[in-house]
Formats: sequence, C-alpha cells, structure tokens
Amino acid sequence: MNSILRKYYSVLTKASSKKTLTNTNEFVEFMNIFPRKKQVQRTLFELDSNLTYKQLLPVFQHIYLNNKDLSIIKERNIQNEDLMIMKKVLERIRFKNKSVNKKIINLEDNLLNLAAEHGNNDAISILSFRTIINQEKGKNTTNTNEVKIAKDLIKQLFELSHPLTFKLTADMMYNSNNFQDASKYYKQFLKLEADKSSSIGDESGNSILEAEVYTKLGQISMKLSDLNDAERYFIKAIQLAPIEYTCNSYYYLSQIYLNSNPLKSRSLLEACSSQGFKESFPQLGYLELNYFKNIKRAKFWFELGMRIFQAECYFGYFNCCIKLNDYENASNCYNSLQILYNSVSENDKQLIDLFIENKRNVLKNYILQRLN
Amino acid sequence: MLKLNSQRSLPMTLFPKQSIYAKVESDPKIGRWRKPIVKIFRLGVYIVKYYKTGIQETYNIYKNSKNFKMEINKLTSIDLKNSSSPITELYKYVEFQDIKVRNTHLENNNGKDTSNGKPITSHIPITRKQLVEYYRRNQVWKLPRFALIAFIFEEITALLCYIWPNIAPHNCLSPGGYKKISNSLILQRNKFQAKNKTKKMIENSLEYNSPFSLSTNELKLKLRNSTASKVKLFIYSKFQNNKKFQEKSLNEFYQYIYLNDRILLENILKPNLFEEKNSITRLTYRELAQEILERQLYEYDEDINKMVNDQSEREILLLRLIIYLSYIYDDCIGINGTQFLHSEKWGAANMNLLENRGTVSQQLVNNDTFSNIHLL
Repeated sequence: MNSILRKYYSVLTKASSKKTLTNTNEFVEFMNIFPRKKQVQRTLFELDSNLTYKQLLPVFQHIYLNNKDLSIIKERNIQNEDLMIMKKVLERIRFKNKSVNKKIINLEDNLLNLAAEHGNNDAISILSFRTIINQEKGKNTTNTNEVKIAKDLIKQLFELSHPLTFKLTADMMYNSNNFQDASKYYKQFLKLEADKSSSIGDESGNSILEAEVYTKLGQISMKLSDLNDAERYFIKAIQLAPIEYTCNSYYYLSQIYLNSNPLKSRSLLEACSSQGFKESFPQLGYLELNYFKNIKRAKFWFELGMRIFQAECYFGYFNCCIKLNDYENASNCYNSLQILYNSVSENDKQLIDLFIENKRNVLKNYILQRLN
Repeated sequence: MLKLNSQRSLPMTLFPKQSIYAKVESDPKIGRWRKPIVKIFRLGVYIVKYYKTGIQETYNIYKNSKNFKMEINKLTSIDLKNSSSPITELYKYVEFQDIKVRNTHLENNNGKDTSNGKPITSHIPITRKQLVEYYRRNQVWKLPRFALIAFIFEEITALLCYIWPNIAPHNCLSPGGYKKISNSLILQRNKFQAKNKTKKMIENSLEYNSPFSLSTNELKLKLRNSTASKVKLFIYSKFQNNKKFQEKSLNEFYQYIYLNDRILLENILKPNLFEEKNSITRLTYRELAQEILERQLYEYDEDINKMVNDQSEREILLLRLIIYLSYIYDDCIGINGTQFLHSEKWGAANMNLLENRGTVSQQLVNNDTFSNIHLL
C-alpha cells in the first residue's frame, strides 16, 4: 500500500511545480488517514459543491502540515466558503464512518481557523461561541480579552441576522436549561434559513442543520410536555436529513409511539439500532419480550446490546434465558455481569446490585434442581 | 343528546308488531275479514321501510364520517395520509393531552397532587357521535351483498336476515337477529374460556396481554365484536398467513372502546358539555344496548333489547355499565386526577380489559343480586 502511495506522490510532485510536502513519510501518513477519494467526491456532491477532489487534495495536504505559506489557497482560487466546505467534508465523513482521528480533527480546526481569517461568518461564529463555552467551562486557554472580542463578534453577527449565530445561541440556552429562549432562537434560525433558501431558490437549504434544530425543538417540546408538537418536530427532522444525522429523532419518536402504535415504535427503534444507537437495544429487547412476546427476538437484541456493554441488556438477556430454560447461558450472563460491575457508572452499579440480589435465588434453585 | 348518540347507526330495540296489529285491529275502516291480510301487509311495508331507511342511513354515515380523518388531522396538525388510523391518532392525542395535563398540574403544585379527587381530565374535542359513526362506517361494505340478496330473494330477505343476521347492515337488524348475534358472541366466549381455561387468567386483572401476543384463535374471539371486515380478516389469516391485520384491527378496537368510554365518562362527569339545555346524560336505548353488547356485559340467553325496554332490567344494565366503567377507570388521571394514566395502570392496550366485566368474580349484577335493594 505504502509503495503505491510513494509512486503516487512522485507523480504528484512531478506534476506540480511546487513541492507541497517536504517529506515522503508525512505524505504517506496523510494519505493513510485521509478519507478515500470516492467518499470525498460523494460528499462534495452531497454538499452541491463545484470543487473537485483533485483541486482540494493539495490544499488539504498543505493545511495538514500547518504550512504557513498559504499561497496555494490564492493559487487555486479557494474562497472562504470553500474552506468551510472542506471542513464540512471531513466532518460528514467522520460522522458517517463513526471514527475519530485526532489529526483529522486538527485539520478541521485549522480549516475553520483559516476560514475565519478569510472572513467567513459561519467560522467566526463557531469560533466565538467556542471561546465563550471554553471560558464558561473554566478552561485556562481563553483569556478575558478573547472572550470580549468573541462577544463583540457575536453581537455584530446578530445584527447581521446571521442564521448560524442564532442556532449556536439557542444551543447555549438549551444547554443551560433555558428552553423557552432556546426555542425562540431555534425558530428564528429556521425562519432565517427559510428566507435564505427562498431568496436563493434552493429549497433544500441547510437541511442537516435544520434537522438538528427540529430535533432540538422536539426535545424541548417533550420537556415541556407538549408531545403533539414534539411529534411534529421529530417527523420534520426525519424528513429533512438522512438517518445518521437524525437518530435521536427516530429514538424519541419511537418513545412517543410506544403506547399507541407499537409497530411503528418497533420499526423506528430498529432503524436506530441499524446506526448503532445504543439506547435502542434494551428498548427493542423489552418491547419484543413484554409486548410482542417474542423471546428469541428479544434475546437477539439483548445479545447485541451486551456486545456494547449495556448493563440493561444483561438483565434482559438473563430473563430471556430463564424463560427459554437456557440456564447455562443465564449463568454465564450472571457471571459476566459481575465482571462488568467495576467498569460501569454508579447508577448502573446500583441496578446491578439489585439485579444480582434478586436473581441469585433463581440460579440457586436451578442448581439445586440439577443436583437433585 | 344529538352529539352523544347515533340512533341512525343502530338497530331498533323493539319490533312494533304488536302496535301495528293493534292499530289495524282498532281501525274501523278496515273490514273484519280483511284485518289478518292488512296486518301482514302493513308489517311487510314497515319492514321494507325499515330496510330502506337502514340502507340510506348506512350510506349517509359512510359519507358524513369522511370528515373525521380531516378533523383529526387538524387536531394533531399532522397530515396522516395513509399512515395510520384516525382512531389511533385520536387515542394518541388523548394520551398526549393527559400527560400534559398531569405534568402541568403537578408542576404548578410542586409535584403534589392537590386535585382532591376532582377531575382534571383533558377534554376530547370530538363528540361521541362522530367517533361511533366513524367506527360503524364499515357497515357500508355490507350494502352491495345485502342489495343483491334483496334483489334475488325479495320478500324472503326478512326471513334470511332472521336466520343469518350478519348479512344485513347493523342498523337493519331486527331484535330477534340482534339476540342471535349477542347469543352467538357470548357462546363463543364461554366456549373458548372453557376450552382454554382462560377465565382464571382474565379474573387476574394484573395479568397483561397485548394484542400482538395473542394466538390466532384468541384474536378471532376478541375481534368478533369489532367492525373490522370479516372477509379481510379471513383472507389475511388464510392466504397471507400473517396476523398483522388482525392484531392491528384488535388494537384499534381496544382504542375505540377506550375513547368511547372516555367520552361517555367525560359526559357523565361534566354533563353540560354536550347537553346545553339539560344537564342529564341521556344515552338512548339503542346506544345502551350497543354499549352492553360491545363490552359483553350480559349473559347467554339474556335479550338485551328486551332488557333495555323494561325499566327494572334497564337499571340493571345501567348498573353493569357503571360498575364496569368505575372499575376500569378508577384511579386513572383522566378521571380523578391521580398520577396514573390508563395505560400506566393496565399496561399499553391490555387485551384482558376487553373481557373484564368490572367485578372481581366476573359475575354480572342481576335481579337476584339486588333482591333486597330497591333500585331508584
């Protein structure tokens, strides 16, 4: 693999008048962690961008090396929006692959910083909010001057009716449990996005961000006990973005339908589980076990949940085994749960204690039966 | 009364044979020798008129209840299209409202229930008439078959309807046909219980059974009271070899019974809701008979129509209904403001409730039970 990359590098350096990478090893490392060409091309297509992989790759390489000579950006006529698109490409691929690489995240940050330096409002907004959040969290990296500048920038962006600023403000409000104001800003964001897309004539707009906002609005409605609105928002979120971005909406919607439409609820939970949404496994297991009375299927879901060390799934799996008279697996599950004990949260520890105490007799009786 | 009952969707409770005969008998214009023929003729005319009205009303109900789905759409602000039944949507809406009412109530009182037993129920913005007519609209599919039978057999149709009452739309049934249906329903139930010894299970009201966990025979038994198309049910079970349609129909039937009970209770607890002039909840004889039939609050060989038309027997039926309602809805949020929802108390769509008669022994109240008490 590396030899192929080296060959590719030599071709690339011959083709380009300027050497973009100083070291072959660095190039090999970059190509090893950088997403595949097809994936990048597909994501660029999804983002409706005119940029090409060939055009962007040297820029990615350049920024990856933290090269201070940024003439390549001018040379290739890369705008600040293009830098944000490059960041989005990496972000989306990371999200789809569900894998995190620190170096790729650094690359994303570098792209964000560059975009902000080139005057991109989205980047400025993200960085400003990041500074404020870091200060609130008490991180030493930020000083008061930076925070002041960030606040000023946000104020200016507000005056410009910049949609992302409204969304990020709402996110902050949401995290500080100020749901009424958060809802107000989220709605303003949606309004601004709608205005923006209608003026451009692009109906699709920023659908993933909108879906995220609808999910948040749904969660707020759920917290305020307005389940009718919550349902409406979750459905809207699901309509706007693919499942990998709206897993939360699927999950919450399944909870809403649990009483009135369990079939729908089950389908939604299955969709969640296809994305590895860990909370969906115990839910599916218990739904199959108690509502559909399909013990084998319940066991299957619990087994999947156990693979990601969900304590609840161990309980369910144990119960399924007992119902199916599979005492050997029940006993194994019981032992595994005791091993798991040290690596779980305090809440789970309490639950495990309770479970072990209750089920000890079940296994004792079985052993006595076997001995007799 | 207009918004509570749907007279047009239900059959008569008393066959006016005696009154027609008495009228002919007392009519001096009809010669004595003509009287037996006139009696039969007038009875025939009455039956034909009854069928005609029944057919017309069945069609009208079907036409008028089309708006029900739109009203539910407006209520929930979600375009249902073909996704799910309006009854399920209404059930969900009521559940959401109950949760909201409970949480708001508890929030305002710092988590304490201060209702003191007063109802804090959410209001269902649909009338009982709308609900029952929507559920009974499926009878329209009996019309083509019924019209064909009437066309082929002409005057013998009445006799055929007496022998096989299920061929006629529900509002074309005679009291005799109604009794046949009610007897067959309760007989099936008793036979099934005896065979499967489920009575013990039903007596234990804590036992939970969802519609999706029942066997095909249990599904059939529980669906016999619903208006789900029997042909469809048969085709799905025989040829498709899956129970999904039956399970969904049963779930919908359960939701219908719940909503029907809720609206009736809401009416009893807040009597001026529908009845602007009079504060008494007036359930017609036909509706009372139907309520008793759907909830199986009668024994084999009891003639519900006859009971409904007799004052003391009617009081017994009312008492059975009240006992049933108070047992099923006792301690639920919609009724007395405690922290439980109906589904939290009994479990989501607990099918055992469809067999529950509201008494511990599942024995119904009758004249013997109250021989020493005079009912007012």
